[in-house]
Amino acid sequence: MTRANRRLVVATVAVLALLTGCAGLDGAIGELASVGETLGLIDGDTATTLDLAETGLTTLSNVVNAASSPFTPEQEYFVGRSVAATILTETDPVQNPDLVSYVNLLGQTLALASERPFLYHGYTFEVLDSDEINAFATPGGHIFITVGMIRLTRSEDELAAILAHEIAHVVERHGLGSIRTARVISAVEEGMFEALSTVTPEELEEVTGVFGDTTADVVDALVTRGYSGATEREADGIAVEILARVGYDPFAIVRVLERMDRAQAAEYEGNAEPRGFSKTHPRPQARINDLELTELRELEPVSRINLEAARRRYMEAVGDL
Amino acid sequence: MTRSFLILLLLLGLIATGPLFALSPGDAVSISVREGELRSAPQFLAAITQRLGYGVSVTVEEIRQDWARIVLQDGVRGWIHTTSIAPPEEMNLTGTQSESPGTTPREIALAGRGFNEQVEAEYRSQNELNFDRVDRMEGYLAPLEDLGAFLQEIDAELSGEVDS
Repeated sequence: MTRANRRLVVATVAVLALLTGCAGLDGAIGELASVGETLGLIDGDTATTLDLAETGLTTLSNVVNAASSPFTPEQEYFVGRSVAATILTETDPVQNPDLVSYVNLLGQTLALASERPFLYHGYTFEVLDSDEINAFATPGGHIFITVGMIRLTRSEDELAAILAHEIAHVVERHGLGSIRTARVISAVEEGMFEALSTVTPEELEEVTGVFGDTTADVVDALVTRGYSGATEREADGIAVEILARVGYDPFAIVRVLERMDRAQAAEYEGNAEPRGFSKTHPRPQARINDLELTELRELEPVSRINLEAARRRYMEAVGDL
Repeated sequence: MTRSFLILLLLLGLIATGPLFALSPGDAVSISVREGELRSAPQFLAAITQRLGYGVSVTVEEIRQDWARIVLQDGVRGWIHTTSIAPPEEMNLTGTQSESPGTTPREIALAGRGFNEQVEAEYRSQNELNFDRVDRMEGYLAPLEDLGAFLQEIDAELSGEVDS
């Protein structure tokens, strides 16, 4: 194949990829490259180059945003359930109904003040019986916070800041963004979803395999890999807005991040392996630096809440922890 | 004004507004939550007049901030929060979202179709996972009235409401 011909094929592939939309690049180039190679239109080297062109597009975060999720609300919910089941199989929930009820009332109230108050099922919160300092959310609205994280808070608005940050991850569908597209694409290439109304046992088996992979990708992001710094910044920014909308002090997030930073520093001094949030989040001090503190000062809470009443019920639910 | 400039403006407009669907009166939409609550007024705590299942088709008649007045096929009307409804193409995954910038390949959308109760049941049979704990957790969903009371305790109000 001549160089000119190869250029023509590459250009054609690029145009085709563009025509299918930016997101269509993911998988489409490799697919076209392999077809081109099979038909003898391009050689192996060119096919490899084209394949490499899409390696930067490995997760759904490139195509998922709040407005165009490839998953229906129902599917987000089912992925969320299996992620939640994985977490709840690994770690026991606390047996403290008053605490769990308080965290749910607080969290669900904050969710109402978010941009996405209603999900397929809704937001529910569970407290994990772990000393690790951590919190995370599934795409289905299941939000987890550890006893260790709650112990680090000193007031209702600080606890609210942590929960609002997790709600922000759900609102922005960050969990789904961690799914590696290639797996889903490969499932499609095998044509396994063509006629699910008449699903065969083999097809069900295959779809279940993809479902398991999808779940594993999200769990991996939540407990091991973490999201990008930009994603965490976005969640912090949204959390601050939610706090202000209810009437909580937006600076609560700064106070709790400072305490997290000290806890992390102490952990590192002991040369401990990063655990909990340390493994998956940027340094808390860096997150504080990213918050526009001057803007935070201008962010007036919409109403003045009764701080004494908030303190009383916080102490009642969390005090003995 | 040149044609290319007009096209540029159009593109900028698309990016600025994003692919988020803009609701307008007359739009046909579907319920996007498991149990959509139809209310007598555009407020979180207004009386629930009817519960609507996932995927039920309704028509938008009026928008007030985050609330839409909808009419059912049998003529029943009521208010619902706009995050409880979605355009049909987001619900049945026909892959028609590709006209928006940065959207979804149809293939991925189709792939998602497989994740349902049947698949969860199969997944559960293959893995020893504690779904009972998930069911218990999902039972923590509090009625909106309780959330209203929780806010009242600290003299706060439910946000996102408009006067009816």
